Amino acid sequence: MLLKLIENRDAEDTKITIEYRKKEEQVNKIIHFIEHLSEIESGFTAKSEGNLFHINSNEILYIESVERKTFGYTADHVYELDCKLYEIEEKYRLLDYMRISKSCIVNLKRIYSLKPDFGGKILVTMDNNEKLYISRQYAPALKEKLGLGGRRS
Amino acid sequence: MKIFIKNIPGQSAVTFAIMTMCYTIITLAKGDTQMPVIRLPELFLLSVFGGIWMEFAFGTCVFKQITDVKRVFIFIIPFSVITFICAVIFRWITELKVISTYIRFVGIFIGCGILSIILFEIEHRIRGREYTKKLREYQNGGNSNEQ
Repeated sequence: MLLKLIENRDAEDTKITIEYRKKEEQVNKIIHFIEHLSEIESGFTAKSEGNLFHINSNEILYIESVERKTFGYTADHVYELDCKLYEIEEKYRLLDYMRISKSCIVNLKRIYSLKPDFGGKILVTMDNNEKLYISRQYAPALKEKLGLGGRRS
Repeated sequence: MKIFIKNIPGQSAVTFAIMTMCYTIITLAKGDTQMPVIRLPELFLLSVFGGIWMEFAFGTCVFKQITDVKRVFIFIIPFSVITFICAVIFRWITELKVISTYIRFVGIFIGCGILSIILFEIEHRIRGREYTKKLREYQNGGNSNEQ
């Protein structure tokens, strides 16, 4: 893929043109990313104790779905988010968010360490020392993302 | 099924390594410094079964949603029975009418189980360091498989 950057001080706005031979997955990913960039950059609207907050996506350590509600965990606080887990997964998949179990998405930038565990799971220690498990089902995807081989379960 | 079969050689190799270590420790503890060559194919045969059963119990192909405790029981109980049968067939155990034989077998089996857990823990720690190193590379914008 060829990336061509042109600096034009006279341009009224930033213009992105994607030229492709065939609209493949990679092209779709780029389009998806550009289309959702402002939403992704804006972070999350979160609720806590009746108040609304704006949480930057880097602040979130992990997101969990409990009884049809979605909660975002920062280093020292829990917020209720107004979107579904699958929506977050879809919107942030090109950033550093990754599904680690049926009910949890983790921010890869906020993981302190990883350790394989009994039965194919991976133990995740977050920046705040909180521990989570990557289930057997999702462990190969993480390994693949980190360049550790991957698709063996 | 394809993944199940693909994972069996790896699981068998792990089982063979652990069983050979356990057998060596037991032999040395009994004061023997030599092991008959025939013991290796015997251990290998048992390891192939162990590998298949390990993948059956701990892999994701057969059981997807069960607890680790259940997986341990699914593995341990049939494998201990098969190991006992093999021990009798291969004549590792000869005195079947003496109760202490059975007590010793259970003791050895538990000891081997504890040794396996220790070896797995060491392996997990080593691999954990590698995983964390790759994670740091990813976090610092380095190598990853991201397209």
